Amino acid sequence: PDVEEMALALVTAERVRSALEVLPDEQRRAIQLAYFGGKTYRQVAEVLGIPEGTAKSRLRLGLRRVADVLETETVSRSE
Amino acid sequence: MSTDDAMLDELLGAYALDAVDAEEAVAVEEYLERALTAAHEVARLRNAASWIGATEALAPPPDLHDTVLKAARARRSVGRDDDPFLAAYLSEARRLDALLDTLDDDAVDRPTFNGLTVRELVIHLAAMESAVASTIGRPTAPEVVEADIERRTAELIERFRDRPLDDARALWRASVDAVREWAVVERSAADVALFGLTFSRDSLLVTRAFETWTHADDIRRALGRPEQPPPGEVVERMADLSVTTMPAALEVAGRAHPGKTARIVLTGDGGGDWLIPLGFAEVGETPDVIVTADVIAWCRCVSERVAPDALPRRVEGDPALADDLAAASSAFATL
Repeated sequence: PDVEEMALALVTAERVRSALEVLPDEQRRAIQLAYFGGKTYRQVAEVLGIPEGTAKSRLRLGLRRVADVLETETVSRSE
Repeated sequence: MSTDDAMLDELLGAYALDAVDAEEAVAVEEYLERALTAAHEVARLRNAASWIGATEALAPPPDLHDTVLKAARARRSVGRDDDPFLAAYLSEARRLDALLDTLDDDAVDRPTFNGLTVRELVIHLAAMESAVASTIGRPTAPEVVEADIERRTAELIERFRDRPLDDARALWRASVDAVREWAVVERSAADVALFGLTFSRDSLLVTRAFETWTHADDIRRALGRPEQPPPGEVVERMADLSVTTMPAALEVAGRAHPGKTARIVLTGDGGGDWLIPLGFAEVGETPDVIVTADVIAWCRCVSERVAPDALPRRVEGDPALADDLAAASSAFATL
């Protein structure tokens, strides 16, 4: 990748990190367990002591929020 | 949407993170094959998930994905054999959706074959697909009642004028999903009357696949990209529909020759060999003419992207019959 691509990647990664930080705790925790802990949503539910349906919706809502941030970033970049 | 589909929707976030077990992943994969809206959401969530990895530069998720894909493909091929008509429809919807993902802002204003811009052509497809959805009793744009396809397209172009193209795509996707859901539960559906023609369930699905491919190639040409024929098994369904409806097409075009018989040989992946009557009459045992052509060129002639006299063909027997066949082949083309 060229320097510009690297810079954009770093900026995007930074934005995603910020997005994760402002996620509600319960969504961030679920995503961290699934992504970095390699756990299934059932294991996430077990670790957090929540129903499986809740674990599923936390993962989905949290990821959607990160996707929203990424898309905002793309729009502002093309302007 | 069925209860099962709603349950699969709930799994999309976990799936995007590879946080489901293999069996659930197979179910989601199958669902994504059918449901464009869900496939779009997963693409979005997976992209988000990939960036989460970039924030920590940690190892990628476990290799579950490959295992799942293998299992899903194995199961999917059973579905395709089982219902090649729905498979053809979904194949072309997915290929168009993937093409639209690659459009940039400049591309949407380029003019296409029929005079519409790329943007207007996408809206036209939303108009067509939502008209089909209404006709089969699963309306996706109930407030739009115009049935004439050109006026319906014009109405929707106006409606989406100042809105992002994604809004029109969302209507198209929702309509494809509605048609898919109908096709899944209505394997023996009654004939459907649409745009002045009558379709069986299977022929409706193949016709929609045909138009979707045709417009996808219109977009590719407008962008200066190479055309991309569908997979052979999809071409086969389109070729079969176009050849077996030739007697009716000849009658509609005023070029029927009752009592005469043609053998049509279409070559290439998805081609075939048919003996058909040249009008509403019994088919004879020996052909009066044999026409051999490339199956993709034939399909492009049927969709009016190749002029009948420009269709490369080999003719044995009466050349006038072959000319009438080529000329009538597009009798049912819509736009």
